[in-house]
This record gives sequence, structure tokens and C-alpha cells, in this order.
Amino acid sequence: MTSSSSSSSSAAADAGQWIDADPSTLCSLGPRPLLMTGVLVNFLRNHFADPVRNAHQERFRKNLWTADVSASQIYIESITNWLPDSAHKRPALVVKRNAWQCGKWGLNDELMSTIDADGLARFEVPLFGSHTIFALAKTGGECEILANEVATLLIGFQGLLREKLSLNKFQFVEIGPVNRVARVQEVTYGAPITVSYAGVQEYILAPHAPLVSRIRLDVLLQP
Amino acid sequence: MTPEPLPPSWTQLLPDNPIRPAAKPPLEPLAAPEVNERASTFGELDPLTYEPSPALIRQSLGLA
Repeated sequence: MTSSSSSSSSAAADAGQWIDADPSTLCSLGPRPLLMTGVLVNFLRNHFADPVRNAHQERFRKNLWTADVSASQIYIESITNWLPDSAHKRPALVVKRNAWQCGKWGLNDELMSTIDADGLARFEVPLFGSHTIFALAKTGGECEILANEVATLLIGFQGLLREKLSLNKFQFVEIGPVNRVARVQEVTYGAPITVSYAGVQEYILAPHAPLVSRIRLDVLLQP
Repeated sequence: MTPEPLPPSWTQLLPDNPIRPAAKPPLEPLAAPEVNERASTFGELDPLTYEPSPALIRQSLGLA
């Protein structure tokens, strides 16, 4: 996913947890759950890779993200890589995919037209889903500030993300309430930040042969 | 049968001194706060099982 995170990627790959989504397949395969998770993780890492210039909140200008997990001052991972105590005392951002659902635009999802010169059947299925980014910190106040940092970032870039990810919509939804985080030994507070998006999956069914391969005009024209 | 005399009230036992302030009942001791009382006001967030409201997601996309 990222060339800068290669040192942590090998261990994660061994565990079968590495996000190896190739962004270059976005055009041919469209938005996919794993790709969306990878994009959001990468997006947040890029923000905190230069926090002095990027961070809106003064408090997080020293929290530099680095590929070396032990040295990084903020922990940013997908939830499949997250272990409850892996962030230790650092603030953390954990990205989780929620449900993807299929919508309905028309009969049989088919693009029906009167002219079908090539004999191909074209279909479109609207897809919509959401991701949640959990802002985790050791105090409730720090958690609030981190959640606001991420929300500000997403609101500012939601239009650009929609365009670059070939989506119909990309929308910041909400910052949920701050709560104690379960499964973590040390007291940790967390707030969920949710984004939603909608896209389209298009596909074509190509029959082996046209339904009417040929019309024998000679039969009709026989005297 | 003659009833027993009532014991003298505590006011009668005090010396007759008008400057002496009236006795006040002792304050009730405050209950000691529990260690996790503040934290217990929060709910619990489990990132592994959290799911946002489907209705909220649909509404945010204009599908509701």
C-alpha cells in the first residue's frame, strides 16, 4: 500500500494481515472494501507524517507518524492489525470498515435501451457503505482533540477523496460520543468518527453468441 | 403506683451561661467517592463490534 511503511509491512504480511490493495486497480476494479480501508489508513498516515505542517491542533504537532511502529508517536492502523494494547500510551487511530450494502436503481439492474448494437447487456449496481475511524487516547480531552483533528481533515478533503476514488459521494457523517474503550488494559478513551460513501459497480454480460445470430433473408425472399 | 421521674434534659445540665453558643448537631460525614466513579459515568466503546446506525448512513447519503 505504501512504500514508506515497508518495515512494518513484512511482519504484518507474515501474519496475513497486510493490506496489499493496489491503488492502481481502482480504475479497472472500482472501489472495494479493502482498498477503502487502505486509502483511509494511508490518508491519515500522510497527515501525521508531517504534523508540524499539517496538524490543525497544536497538541498534535509533535505526534509524528513513522513506519517504525516502536518509534512512531501516533499509532495508525487498520482494525485487522490492531491489538488492544499495541498503542501503549500513544494516541491511536484505528480504521474499521462497516457494512457495505447494495442498492437498486432499476429493473434487473440493467441499463435498458432500445438500441443494443453490440448485443452486450450492461448493468449497474449502486453500492454504499461506511468506515469508522476510532480516535483513541489516554484522556478524554486528548481523545476529543484528536477526533476533531481527524474530522476537520475529512471534512476538508471529502470532495477530493470522492473524486479521486471514483465515488458518487464521500461524506463525513459524525463524531460519536467519547467512551471508555473495551478490551484495553490501561484506561483509554475513544471516539468513533464515521464517513459514508456511495459508488457504482458496473458490469457487462457478453453472450457467447448474439440471441439472433442471423436472419436468413433468402428463406423469406423465395418465390 | 408512683411513676419514675423523667431524667433531666441535657439543657438543664448546661451551666446557665447566655454567651455559650447553642450546640449544633454534628455534620453527616460525606460518602467517600469510589475510585472509578468518574470513569464509570462513561459508556463502553468496543471497536471490534461497533457499527454506526444504518439509518444514519442512509440519511447521510440522501438515501433515506
